[in-house]
Amino acid sequence: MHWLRLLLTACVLISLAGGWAWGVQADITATGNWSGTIDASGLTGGAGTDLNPTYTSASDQVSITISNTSDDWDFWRVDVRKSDTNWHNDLGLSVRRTSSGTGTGSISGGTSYIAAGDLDTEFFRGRGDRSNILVKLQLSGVSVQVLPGTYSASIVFTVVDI
Amino acid sequence: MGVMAGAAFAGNSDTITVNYAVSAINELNIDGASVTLTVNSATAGSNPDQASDSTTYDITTNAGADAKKITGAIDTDMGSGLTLKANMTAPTGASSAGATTLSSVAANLVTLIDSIAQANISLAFTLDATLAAGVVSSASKTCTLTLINT
Repeated sequence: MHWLRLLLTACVLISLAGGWAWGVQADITATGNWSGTIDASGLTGGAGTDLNPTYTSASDQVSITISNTSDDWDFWRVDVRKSDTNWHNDLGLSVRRTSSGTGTGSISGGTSYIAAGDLDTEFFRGRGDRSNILVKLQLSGVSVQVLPGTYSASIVFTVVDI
Repeated sequence: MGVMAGAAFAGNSDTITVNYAVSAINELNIDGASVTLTVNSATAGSNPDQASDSTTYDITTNAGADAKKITGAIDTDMGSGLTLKANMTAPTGASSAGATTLSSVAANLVTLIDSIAQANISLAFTLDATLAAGVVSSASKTCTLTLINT
């Protein structure tokens, strides 16, 4: 029984170590918060008209780096989701990749706007380490139905080994 | 084992923050620069006929439900025997006071205004003159409409 318990423990450890080595190896770093103000200058045509429904950040608003991959053939995927802090239901946030960054691996996808919802959604994927992948943000759903105030949300980027 | 798992997952996600401030927006515009009201006819046995003219106005506000109203006032009171009225059609969801006499004291013309963006809403003026007013030389009044909190 003692040997059987040891064998089972060893199996669990090997399984966890394997998950650590191959399942969740890459790291992700995202930098670049975004803030802005919506006021009367955002009206599409002055009094009697509504606000411009969308606002877009700079093309290099966010920089993402994928690091600590095992080699150039270590494939990964980046998911995105929104975590509301104080948000308005009418407002939406989308992300779009505007550059491929640098590195010896590769990258694909994410070059059209993808809505950041409450659940993880695939943004882009690639392999190997990539640095300075630039991302643009878009705020949508703006109208006079959004009451004056400050609205905050977090965008969570998650790298998943695949 | 718990420590191992925690260390392995430590760098697999990162977060940025989006902060957006929405300012109070309260815009009101009268489309016509002026209206002209001329009382120059009458039916025998009655006071002179009412004169009328109209324009339109545009409004945008994000103040919320029933949060705003529009008042109207003229720079100086009308002369004796003369009555100037404004009748503002209400934006969707709001309430019009109907034809309301204008004076130098602001009067409510539209109340219970919600967040709205609406253009080309009717704004009508009428001028009534009694016989006691006599012949009045041409004059002008400045009408000021104000979008304020309810």
